[in-house]
Amino acid sequence: MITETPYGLARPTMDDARAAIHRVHAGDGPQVWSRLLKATGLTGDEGDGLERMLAAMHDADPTSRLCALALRIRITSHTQLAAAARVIPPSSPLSPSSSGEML
Amino acid sequence: MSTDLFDRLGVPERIREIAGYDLFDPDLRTSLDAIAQRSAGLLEAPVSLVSMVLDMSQFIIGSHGVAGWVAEAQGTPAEWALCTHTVLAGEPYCVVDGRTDPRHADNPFLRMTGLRSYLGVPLIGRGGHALGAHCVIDARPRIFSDVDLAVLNDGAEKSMKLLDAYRLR
Repeated sequence: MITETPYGLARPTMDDARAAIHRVHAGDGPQVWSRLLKATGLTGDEGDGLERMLAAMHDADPTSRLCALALRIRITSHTQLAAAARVIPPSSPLSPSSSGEML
Repeated sequence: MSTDLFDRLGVPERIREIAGYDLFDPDLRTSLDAIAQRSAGLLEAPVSLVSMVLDMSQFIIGSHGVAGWVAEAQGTPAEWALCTHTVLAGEPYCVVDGRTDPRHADNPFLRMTGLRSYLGVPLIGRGGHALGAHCVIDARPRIFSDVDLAVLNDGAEKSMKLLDAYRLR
């Protein structure tokens, strides 16, 4: 499990995917989540099932696809910033804030 | 994670309205990039975005001046995105100097990028929801003018007209 939180950014988990589906589908959330679990063969408790779940969300309805996209943006941000933090710690004077290379 | 913020952004009707557009069409992207480039040029700003603010992330659908991890991710976490404030306010949102503004001084996005000032206007959908924003971001402290605001409002209007042509049936 990746526990690094560069700039306070936590890597999304399966729990975050479940919360997102429940949030944007409101009353239909539990049913949509159950269908996604069935489609992926996951129980929802797996620590390593997020990629499969994101693929299923992407292929599901347009709203679930947006949830997958939002999670993917956070995952990519986390991956990129964690990698940068390993090379240059955020507190370093050479961190991206002073190099201006990030945007 | 910022559950309260995600709940405020993740209103089902608003997210469903965003999902009603084909945001992944490459021609739409090209056209929105051109709008961002125009706004950046007219306002002499290094960065301009057209974005949708989802429940947990800002999704950039048109841009000028974006590189690095933001370009790789095609967005930013919602809690770091200044456009989140524009969407939640439902009206133009301005930051003169994020480094000294107590609302934004701790924002990692501003710290990382060195960007300091922001002006954004909301993209209002047919259902009346603020779906996203069109903005410019500058590396210097900046007081934006009414003319700057008019340029962004024009860009936002053009963006919504374009998006309307990419509604999913």
